[in-house]
Amino acid sequence: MVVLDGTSKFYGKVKALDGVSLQVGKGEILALLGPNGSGKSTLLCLLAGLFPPDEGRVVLFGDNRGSARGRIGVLFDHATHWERLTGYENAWFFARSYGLSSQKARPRLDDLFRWAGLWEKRDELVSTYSYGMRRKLALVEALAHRPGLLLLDEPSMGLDYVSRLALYTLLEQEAERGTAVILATSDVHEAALLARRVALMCRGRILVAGEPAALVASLEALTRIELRLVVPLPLASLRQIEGVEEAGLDRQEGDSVCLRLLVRPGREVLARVVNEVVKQGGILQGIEVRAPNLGDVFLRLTGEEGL
Amino acid sequence: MLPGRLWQEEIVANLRGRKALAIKVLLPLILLSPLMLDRVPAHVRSVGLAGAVLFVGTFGSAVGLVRLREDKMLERLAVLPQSSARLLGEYILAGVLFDGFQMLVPLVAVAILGGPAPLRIPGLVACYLVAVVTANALGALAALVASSSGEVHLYAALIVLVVGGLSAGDLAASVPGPLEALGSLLPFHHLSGALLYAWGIAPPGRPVLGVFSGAILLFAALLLSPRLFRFRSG
Repeated sequence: MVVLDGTSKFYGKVKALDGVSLQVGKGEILALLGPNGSGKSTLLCLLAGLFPPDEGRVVLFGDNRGSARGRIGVLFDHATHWERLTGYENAWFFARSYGLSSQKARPRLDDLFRWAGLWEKRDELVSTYSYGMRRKLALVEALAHRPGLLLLDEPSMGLDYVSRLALYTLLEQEAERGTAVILATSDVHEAALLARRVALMCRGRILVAGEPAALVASLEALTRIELRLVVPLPLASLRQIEGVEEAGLDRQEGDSVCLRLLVRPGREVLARVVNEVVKQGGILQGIEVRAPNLGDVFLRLTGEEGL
Repeated sequence: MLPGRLWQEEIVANLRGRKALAIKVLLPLILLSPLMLDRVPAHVRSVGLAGAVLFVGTFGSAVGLVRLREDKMLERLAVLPQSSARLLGEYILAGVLFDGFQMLVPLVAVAILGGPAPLRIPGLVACYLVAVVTANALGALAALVASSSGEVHLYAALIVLVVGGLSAGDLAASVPGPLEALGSLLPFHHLSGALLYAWGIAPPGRPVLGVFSGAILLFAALLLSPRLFRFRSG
């Protein structure tokens, strides 16, 4: 259904996509996982037909990209709507623009508005909508014409927990119906939960693609240690500890910093890590030992700060 | 009405802001009211009205399109299964309907002052519509080359000054022949001429030239429309 073959895209001199090759079949959910600026959104825009590739080729639904447009549903990372129209009028505009007849548009939109929890607000101007409501409306607009290919950029951004779960269920239903779903996300858990296949992206390239469980299993017997510190430590000193395979910054939580280490199993490695933290004058707030996840796969592949 | 097409969306959105709508309708009338004074020569009246049509259409279309681009709405429209020429055509159609309505009251008011010959009114209306379409096409061309709302104001102002100056060229004795000839091709020149002809104080012009030049400008805007909907990084 979707074939990318050696696709590259330049923004001026910057190579936003670098020789990306990918295939996505009918009913498949693929997550593009990577940090900001890794090329996920550019790849989605390319597939949506916003621009042609500078190198390589893109084949959608066979070969005719012009006729493919009507079969694609797009959710951009920005939730742009006609502000002076109501939510329902906005959705109606996009449904009709995608060729849905009036007879088919009305029941479909009614269902989707109820699903999104926007039914009560359907006749209110979009300018009165919250960010989360705008994102839901954009999802309704992307789904209304029952596209064969769904391109979703950070689909759960701005959604509450219940709405996220509803979205995941809906996407699984769409996939069962045969819709190919490609979603860009920086949320490791979302990718692992939803996607049947994950492509890890960095600097415009796909580093690796595969089933989430298989990618995590590729780390073999490594263990993940999460350190919460008041003051960050030089990562180089942690990387030099015997048994530590990778070390990277995971996230910042208020005044504290979380570091993520991939280590070979064994109590002595943990002891050496704690010793090094103390030696470096670090103030340890917490320590956690876990099984690795997709973010660790990324860290292993790039040796960078991670997702 | 549920808007299923771009031109319908534009009309619904414009009609919804009642205060803005009242201002849009009343402002041209107020600004053009000096043209209705007794002592104003007929030539000045006709040129003033044609200039106002040029100004309203060009600025309205140019600023509106750049605002859509800055809101990233053009990107959303660009992924629809519709050609950019069709989308721009619909946008211009909405502009023509709206501007046509907006400028209709001043047109009627100015036209009535000169006591138009009834049989010449259809020709005047046709010239008016061609001028409104052309002004919107010029606005779209300004939006095509502008990369920000600041720039688009500059380009729209330049277009209004140059096209307006050329269209009104025969009012000034010092305008060189080639420029006067160029101006006589423009629909705004013919709108002004159609008013004078309707009032019986000028011979009929050749408005087909205005239709021709207006069609060229509209065609150019539609031809270049993919550039308008082109993705701009960042």
